[in-house]
Amino acid sequence: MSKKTLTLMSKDKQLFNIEEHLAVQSVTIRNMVKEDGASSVIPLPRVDSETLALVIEYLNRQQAPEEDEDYVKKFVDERGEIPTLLELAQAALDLDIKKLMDAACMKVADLIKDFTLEEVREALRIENDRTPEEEKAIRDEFQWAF
Amino acid sequence: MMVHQQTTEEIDIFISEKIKPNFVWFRTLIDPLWKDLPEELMIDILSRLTVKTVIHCKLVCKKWRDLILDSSFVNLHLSKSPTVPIPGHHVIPLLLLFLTVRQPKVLMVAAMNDGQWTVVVEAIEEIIVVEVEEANGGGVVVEVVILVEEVVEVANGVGVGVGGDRWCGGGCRGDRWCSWPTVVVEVAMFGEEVVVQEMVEVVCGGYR
Repeated sequence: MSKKTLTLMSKDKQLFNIEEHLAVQSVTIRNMVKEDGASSVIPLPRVDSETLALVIEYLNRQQAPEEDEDYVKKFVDERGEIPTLLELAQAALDLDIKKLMDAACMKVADLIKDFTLEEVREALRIENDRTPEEEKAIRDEFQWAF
Repeated sequence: MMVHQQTTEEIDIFISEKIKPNFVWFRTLIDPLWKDLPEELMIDILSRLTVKTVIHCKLVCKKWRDLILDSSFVNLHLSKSPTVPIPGHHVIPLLLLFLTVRQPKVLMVAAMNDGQWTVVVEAIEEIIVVEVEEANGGGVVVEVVILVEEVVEVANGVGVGVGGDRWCGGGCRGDRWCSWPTVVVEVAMFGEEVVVQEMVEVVCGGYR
């Protein structure tokens, strides 16, 4: 019996094949397969092809269960760039792959914990919409934290 | 009229001098990474940071401040903080206390429940565990006194505190609060979960 293959489609319309028994590590896909057999292409409108390639790489891993924790940690460690990690976390959120999402979020938290405010804003491309007065009020209130 | 035709070199210079330096700034306008991210994800990331970093993050932008001030965030943060659950005890996230108390030097806390002082069972990093008996209807008011660095003399009442590495008596009652900053936290309990409803007040008495 040949193994059943599913096709995932990224935001930019690229197609990726993956064996069903590996794809169902994603709770989202598992539910789709359960419901309608997911014979057609599964669209992932928020996941770009680069990120989806990473997710497929992760799903295809051949790790013994006891080494899995270390593997996922190493997997996100190797993609240490914040934008990549955030894309990965978002894909893992959409696909409901908890371990991957946890690891990616943990890595981002780990990276930003020592950043200055400006560095956080720059890394996450956030516009500063706090006024200097608001900033001073918080700094005064929480002097011990600064 | 002469029309100046830009040469390729001129365009290259223009790009390297004018456009590239502004690229990072420009990218923030065209590609606001954060705005595209699901809130759930950002909350998840913020909940993995220490209390101190969370306070820093309140300054990052209004959106983050609102996320952090949301009570569901407090609960999530609590659930991710290191703790040793003790059966029959309830935990109050120190995050909340930090959010209203200016003194950083928390050594120990004493909690008051329904007029009775309660011994704090354990304080582990960001978590304070207090012994609280559930009142009728599931709601209780817990007053938590945070003792600062010095051991202070108290007027009356009993409580438990620790100054430095020594245990001592502490805490006081009535309107004569000692100079310990006091945080009153109202909590409602549902099963084992402590849901924080409201920060009632912060009292810094002038007893000393």
